[in-house]
Amino acid sequence: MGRVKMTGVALLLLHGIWALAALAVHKAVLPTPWAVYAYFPQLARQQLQWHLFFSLYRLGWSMAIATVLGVVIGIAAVRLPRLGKVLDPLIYLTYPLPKIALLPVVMLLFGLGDGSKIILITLIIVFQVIIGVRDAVRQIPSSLYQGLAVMGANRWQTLRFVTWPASLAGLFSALRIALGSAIATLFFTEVYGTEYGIGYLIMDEWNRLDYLGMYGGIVVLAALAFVLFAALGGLEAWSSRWRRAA
Amino acid sequence: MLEVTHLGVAYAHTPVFADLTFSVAAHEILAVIGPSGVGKTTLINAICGQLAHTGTVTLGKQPVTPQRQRLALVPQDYGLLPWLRVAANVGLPLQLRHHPAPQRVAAMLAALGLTDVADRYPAALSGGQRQRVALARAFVSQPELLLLDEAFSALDPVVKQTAYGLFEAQWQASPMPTLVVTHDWEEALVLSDRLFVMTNGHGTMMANPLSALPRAARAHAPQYPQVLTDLRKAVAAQWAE
Ligand SMILES: Nc1ncnc2c1ncn2[C@@H]1O[C@H](COP(=O)(O)OP(=O)(O)OP(=O)(O)O)[C@@H](O)[C@H]1O
Ligand SMILES: [Mg+2]
Repeated sequence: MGRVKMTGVALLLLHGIWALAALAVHKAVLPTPWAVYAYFPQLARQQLQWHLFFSLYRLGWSMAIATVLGVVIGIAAVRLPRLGKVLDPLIYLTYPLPKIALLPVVMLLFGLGDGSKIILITLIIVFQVIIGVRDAVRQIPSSLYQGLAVMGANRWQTLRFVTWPASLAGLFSALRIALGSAIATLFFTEVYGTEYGIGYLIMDEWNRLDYLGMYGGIVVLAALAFVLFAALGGLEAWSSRWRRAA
Repeated sequence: MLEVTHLGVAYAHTPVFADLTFSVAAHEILAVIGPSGVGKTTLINAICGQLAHTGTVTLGKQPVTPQRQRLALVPQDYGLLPWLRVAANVGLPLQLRHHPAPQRVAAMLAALGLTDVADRYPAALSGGQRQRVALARAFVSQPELLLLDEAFSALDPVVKQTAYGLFEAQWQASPMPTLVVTHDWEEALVLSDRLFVMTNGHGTMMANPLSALPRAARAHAPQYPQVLTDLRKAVAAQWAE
């Protein structure tokens, strides 16, 4: 229970700093935490659940597509060495490109709707997933493959008993890191072509100089991120439970 | 009977050995002994069909492949799957052949004193326990050929003696042609019926002077120290070349 306690302390500390800053600044652009929380019932009436739903929808699809692509490409890059020789340089050439610069192209090809948002987020996080899975698969000692071959395992069994469990552990730690980029990009994509999403909500309140609503949106986004991080952290711990001695 | 004929392996055109010929009888343990880098692991890998080679390897007149025969290999690092619990690791060879037999696995775990750790992951085991899991996994499928690559080398002397006893008990219960790779003369004398001594690219078959004695009695036999000294002396000259 130490972690729950520490999370509580961190939350208190964060709110303390926020409150002190708000009291010191004493302007509408930085309201106090209690003013923001008091505004929540009103925020809830502004279709908060739909803003949440659309943000989660875009995030969920992006993470799901990045997972499938990342696992398939990450495993293939190691297990099919000929393909890997082509894939590796390709990954390293495209990984550092600022994919956000592709936004106009993505908009042109896929429009302004959810499709283009999901594609852009996927484009940005899929590399982290590919590399995480690939590195986890690469670290599997060859003796494990050899051992299975001697026991008469076929390709499918080798994938199931060796490659897959190793890549699962790599996948979840990569996804946890990718989630940060995904949420940052999500916010960016919700600024255009939509009237739903937490990102839209925050920007809209800002434009209308409704700072209480804007901070409410930020608090909701932070809470959403926290829950998703915690969930992925749990999945990561579960998928690599065999690493802990005990 | 395992028959190895004119066996050769080369890595990138550099031969490790070019022409090894020997056989291991159905109820025989052959110790393969030689200095580090001489090609013992290479020999084992070639025998179980994991390395391209020249020459032939047959078991009961059939070419050796994991698809045709039940083979068991205990590699130098034991090769346990870290994400499978002990019981699942031991049951793996049976599961891969679609003959899961939980009772046989449980009996094997009990025989090797692993019942209490059956639900643990390998990371949570001692070195000695891990080695016993590897032995259990090798014996559980009742293999037609058993290959041990330095399977006892990492154990401390006391644990090693126990492990020899457990190995002996399992092997006697249903013997199969067996290769025990080692660089330890005492291990070779205690476990084997004959010795295959490898020296840069060649192998020499030698009798184990203690093979008439029961394995458990060999290390305590009065002639043991002398045999050990003689063997070391005879081979030291070769290995020094
Ligand atoms: N995959 C490989 N590629 C190239 N050379 C190799 C490879 N594996 C082994 N060798 C070389 O082949 C020779 C025999 O290696 P091997 O591992 O069979 O020796 P060993 O007798 O098992 O040694 P040890 O007692 O240290 O385990 C060594 O010179 C080694 O460097
Ligand atoms: Mg070796």
